[in-house]
Amino acid sequence: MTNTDRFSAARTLSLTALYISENRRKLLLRTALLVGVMICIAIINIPYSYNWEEWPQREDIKLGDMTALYYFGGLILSCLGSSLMMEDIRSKEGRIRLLMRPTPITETFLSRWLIYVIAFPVIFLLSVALADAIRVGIAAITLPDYYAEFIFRPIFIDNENTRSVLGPPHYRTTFVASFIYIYFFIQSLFVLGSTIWTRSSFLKTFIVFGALTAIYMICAMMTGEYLMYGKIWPEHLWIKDHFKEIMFAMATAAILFNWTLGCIRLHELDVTTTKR
Amino acid sequence: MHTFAVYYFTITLMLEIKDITFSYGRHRPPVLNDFSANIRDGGIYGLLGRNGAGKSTLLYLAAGLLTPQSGHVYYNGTDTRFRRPSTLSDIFIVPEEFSLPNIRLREFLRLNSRFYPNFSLDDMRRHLDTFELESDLHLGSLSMGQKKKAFMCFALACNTSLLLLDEPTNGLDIPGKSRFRKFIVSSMTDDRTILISTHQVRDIDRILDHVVITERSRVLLDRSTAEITERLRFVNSDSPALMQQALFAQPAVGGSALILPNDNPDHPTELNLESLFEYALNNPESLTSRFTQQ
Repeated sequence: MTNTDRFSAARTLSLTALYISENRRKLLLRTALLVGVMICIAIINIPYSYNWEEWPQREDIKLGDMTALYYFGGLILSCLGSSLMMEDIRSKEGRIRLLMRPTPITETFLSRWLIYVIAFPVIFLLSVALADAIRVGIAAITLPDYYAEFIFRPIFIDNENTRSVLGPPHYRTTFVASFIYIYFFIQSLFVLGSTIWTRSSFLKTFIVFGALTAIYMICAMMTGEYLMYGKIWPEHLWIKDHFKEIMFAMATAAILFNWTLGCIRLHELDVTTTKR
Repeated sequence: MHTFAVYYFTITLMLEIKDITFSYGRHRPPVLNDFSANIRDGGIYGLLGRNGAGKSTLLYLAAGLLTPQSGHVYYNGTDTRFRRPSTLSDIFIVPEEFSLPNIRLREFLRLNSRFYPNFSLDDMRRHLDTFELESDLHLGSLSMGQKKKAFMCFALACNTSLLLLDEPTNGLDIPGKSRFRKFIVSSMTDDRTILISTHQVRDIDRILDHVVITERSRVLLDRSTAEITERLRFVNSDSPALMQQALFAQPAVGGSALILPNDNPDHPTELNLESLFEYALNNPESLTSRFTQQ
């Protein structure tokens, strides 16, 4: 393998393989936890959907609830996982091992990013599909008079159920894109937190960035309210017309900023963590 | 016609430590204060000093694991604080405290040797044989001493030009310590430098080529063992005549350990590192003057 000072994709992938091999047991346990949580959500929801008072007239309500539960659970687990992305820098031995390896710290960060930001959503979707299949299987056995549908299906499929919940296709795309952006934004905060706080990263990130995000959103909403109702630009509705695009651009910038800041923070890492 | 042959002797500075200042906390006194030292190409260096003198800190700075508040550490002209892969792949540090992953040694080698271009599997097998370790080990099931042996085997098999060892014999059993000396000497080459920081001077005194003694950010002694034994004589004796001539004396088993000027450089005595260390700490000016005299 080359010891070039420039970026090397092969070396990054080697670091990913190294991380997976060294933490195989931990990663398997976390994946099992993820699948277990999804299966629990699915099984718990069987009697809920069966006893839903307005079923079968309001199938769309059942569909909405299940999806939210799955994704909310996935978001929490993703944030938990991301806050442990750089857990090995918690100890002096871990920091020594990480810093003495002749690889740029950017590639080390990227190797973990590939697992927690890219691979995790794929594993999450697979675990939801598995949990949903188990739910349908169990429902078919225990409640023979109840037709349990597979509710995990691509949300952009155009049918009566999805249309009544999500509206026409272009709104559906906005809904999915918004969810993806919110997911990656929240997760990027925990990725950043894992490089700043070596201990209790999840809790500290939740408190600090949660509070910061809430303050930011309140300020943004108040500013938007002030601007949007013609107090500065009474006839200028450009912001309102392009609000969606502005929000997506800001979210993209925020996500990239958090990842970059996390990587930069790692460049400052030393064996000792005392302030100097 | 006269033919002139001109021979150039160059001394290459492998590791140049320039005016380093480092402390472990904003309000703590510096461990190293404007410290400078040079390590040349080739040889086994022993780095000695009191507890808290900054020996381990110096090794971490040399390996780029720490960033100094001021000053620079240059390895072959490159500042180690930048942690460039091209630099780090030629330096290996075996710290006093380290951890190994819970995987088989074979897998560890397969995954980690990729980052060291000069890694040799044959050398690894040879070093494992020296320490009587099997090649198919599970790192998670080893004792601390065995982990140290395995890690040192890997360190040497990477064939880096600079190898930094911090208290390498800590945790090794008695046979392990003697095999360690054989292990280090057998892997020495002209272009390799090994820097050993230790308090266990008896474990390494016979393998050192060069001694560096530090105290309070000062280098008290930076000489080759050949030079030291050329200028100084180390004897164990209770003879009053010798004790009167001695530059330094300390009680020892079987008589006092004395350091005397060596009047017969062609017959050097065996180096007594413990005495030399005490002499350097107690009377550094006298020691320095021994090497500045003609």
